[in-house]
Amino acid sequence: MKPMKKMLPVLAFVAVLFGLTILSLTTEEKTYSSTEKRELQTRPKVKIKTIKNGEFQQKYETYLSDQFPGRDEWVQLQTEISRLFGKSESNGVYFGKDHYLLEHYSEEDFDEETMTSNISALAAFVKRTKKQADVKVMMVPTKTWILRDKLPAFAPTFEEQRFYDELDRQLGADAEGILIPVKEKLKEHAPEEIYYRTDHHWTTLGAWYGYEAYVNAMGDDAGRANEKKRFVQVCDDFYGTTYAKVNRASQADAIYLYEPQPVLSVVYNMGEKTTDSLYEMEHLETKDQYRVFTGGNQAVLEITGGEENGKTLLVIKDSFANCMLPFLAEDVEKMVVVDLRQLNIGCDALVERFSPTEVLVLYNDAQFAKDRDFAMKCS
Amino acid sequence: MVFSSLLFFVRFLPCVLLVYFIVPGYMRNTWKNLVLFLFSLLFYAWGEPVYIWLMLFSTAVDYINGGLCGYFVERDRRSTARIFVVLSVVINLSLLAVFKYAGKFALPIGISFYTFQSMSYTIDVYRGKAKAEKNPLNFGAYISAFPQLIAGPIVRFSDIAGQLRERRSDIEKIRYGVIRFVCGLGKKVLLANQAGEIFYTVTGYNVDQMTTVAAWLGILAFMLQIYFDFSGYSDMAIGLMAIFGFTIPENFDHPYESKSITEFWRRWHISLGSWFKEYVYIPLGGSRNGMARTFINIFIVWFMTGMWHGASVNFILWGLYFCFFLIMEKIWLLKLLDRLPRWLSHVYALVVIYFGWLLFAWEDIHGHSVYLKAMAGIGAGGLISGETLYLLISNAVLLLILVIGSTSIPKRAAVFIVKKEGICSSVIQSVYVVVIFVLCIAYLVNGTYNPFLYFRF
Repeated sequence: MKPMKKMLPVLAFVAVLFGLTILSLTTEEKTYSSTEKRELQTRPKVKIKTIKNGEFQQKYETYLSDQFPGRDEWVQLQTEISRLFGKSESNGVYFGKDHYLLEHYSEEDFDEETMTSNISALAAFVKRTKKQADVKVMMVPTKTWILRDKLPAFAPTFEEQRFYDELDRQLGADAEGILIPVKEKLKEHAPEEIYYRTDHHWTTLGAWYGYEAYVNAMGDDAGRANEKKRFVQVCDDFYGTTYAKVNRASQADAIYLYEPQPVLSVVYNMGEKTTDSLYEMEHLETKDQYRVFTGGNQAVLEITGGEENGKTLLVIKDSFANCMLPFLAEDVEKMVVVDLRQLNIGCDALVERFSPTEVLVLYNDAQFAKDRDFAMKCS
Repeated sequence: MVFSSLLFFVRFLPCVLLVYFIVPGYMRNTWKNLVLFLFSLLFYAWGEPVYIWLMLFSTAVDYINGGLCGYFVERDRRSTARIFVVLSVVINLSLLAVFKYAGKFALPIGISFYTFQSMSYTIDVYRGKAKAEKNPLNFGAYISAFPQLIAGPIVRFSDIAGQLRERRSDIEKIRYGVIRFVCGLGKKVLLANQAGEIFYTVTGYNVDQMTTVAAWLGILAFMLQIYFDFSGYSDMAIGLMAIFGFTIPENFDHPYESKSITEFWRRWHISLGSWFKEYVYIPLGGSRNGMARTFINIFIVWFMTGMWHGASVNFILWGLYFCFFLIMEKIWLLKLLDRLPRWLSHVYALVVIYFGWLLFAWEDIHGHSVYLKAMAGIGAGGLISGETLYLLISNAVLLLILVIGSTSIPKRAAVFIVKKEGICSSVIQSVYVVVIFVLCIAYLVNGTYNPFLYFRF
């Protein structure tokens, strides 16, 4: 009995060590992680050359961690433990009030140089284009900044007013009338469900407020926006990108769609496929439910079927536009939506090609501030 | 390879343990030593395969030097034997000069540790403290032993020579080794890395805008990080070596409980301090040749100690900084400290150590003065900000654990539990092992967690 008692801690150690080893040797290899939304490293092939230069070793370590059994659960455990340590932040995500997960944005996310050059490219583009078309710029603030009341006590986040000050400065006289005051609108409605709890995007309601601000700025009748304030809930178990960083959330999100919508014609990526709606409902059955909006980011969408008023709207955008497109689509005869990051065409070429009567530049400010090639593609 | 990686836990460690314990111990552990040697080479070569030649070169050269040195010592031809001691020292120091100080190559892991081990071997043989090791496998296992390869302790050959041939891994030793290893792992992964995050956050601030509290907190975090990191590695090394049946010297003895700098250096990185004492200070004459000569000797040792830590000026300054306090203590300060209340001498030692880490933390000398300004409150950052407050609040529990953990309280609790010897004590030990181990794995997995949020944009 006595040696047995001594053995117990050793047995415990051996059990965990060899248990994990056997599990990691026998777990079936996966090629894709739906939580991390990326391809996983599979077992690298042994080659003398790659061993010599260390490439094999690196890949093998990535392979081990990528294929580690129960990977998501381990991450979840780590998050729980760091909560026990009294941390209200894990992997760059704050655990805010009312079950909100909020990204921690820092100076690095709003890198001075990239931000300034993007804004100045945008200002120049506005100057060039405003003679031929009605140009509007909509910058959507981050959830963390708008909902900063929900942050843990004293939690720091980047002061995004600096971004808007720079925008005002560079647009100069153009700012008035071109810059849509969406941040003011969102601040006003902050108590409502305008951002997802587990995702960094704004909700359909949030996007509707953006649309309302756009309608106002275009000088259209407010009724145009009001009649579109009708939403249908299509799922209530959405866990978004912010959740994916920590694998922990105490409340799932619901996704609402603006419906019913008139039948449209949506041409994807210059004829890759054609559908009759901006929604791709099949994604609601997957883990990437947010892709219900236009199936994720597409390089180019050409939408027709809206009001026959001879208007063409060019939307230059990031993912924040995806859930606002349905509101916009009906108001113009033709809408062209481009994601510059997926497309190798510059802004001016797009204007020339589609000769829009209206141009809307719609970005999330953080994503715009760190976009690596906006300045290049826009000049 | 490092201990704190999944590769180590789900491939390397189970393999080496399995093979090591299957291989029989006869022929005076030769086969077991071969297993250790081969796995250590694999461990070493994993990150930089080219450097395996460096390790083999080092091993071969020192094996030959030590062997020849021993040959001539046995025949009482000491002046010939001395040639090989000089040769060994010159070759090892040249390796250090080329790979560590010239700055042209990626630093081979552990080179500062194993070159010092090698030198101790030839010198010990020369001094007759140990016999030259005839079996190259035993010698290879000593020089390259993976548990202490990366971060010490620096094991002197005379400490381990006998154990290479005769040792026994009994269950008591293995149990001790497992607990010691897990403890070290927890110190590294759960505590040091998190303390490192605080330091990293503070260094991310613009020094001109840094608040006074943040500046002080930053160095405190560094002070705790380096202790838990380094002593954690030593614990893991001592634990693993115990599992393989070896007993190697301790490297840390709760250094932050010291009441003088003299005491601190008897408790911090003990194996390095005693190496310099044994192979530099005493051969230079130690304190036997009058005040002036003693101070020169102390100066030489601390210049070298500083330099051992890195090729940058701040490390030498750091060594000389301690040299100053050690000499002061030798002249008069120690007598004064003895008469002061214990807590006051403790505060003195901590303050000196604390500012020492400020020197150590930044290689850029100019950074120190700006940082000191922030600490003194002369900077533009003010005393405290919301952000600093947040950093403090969200790390309060961690800091408390770190501070308590750096005292001898946890050790005393552990000894109390282990001494009980009942089934209850066994269960507590087992739960400790499993919980710490599992948490460390969770932290290691999280460290590799890398969501690619393609629809983010």
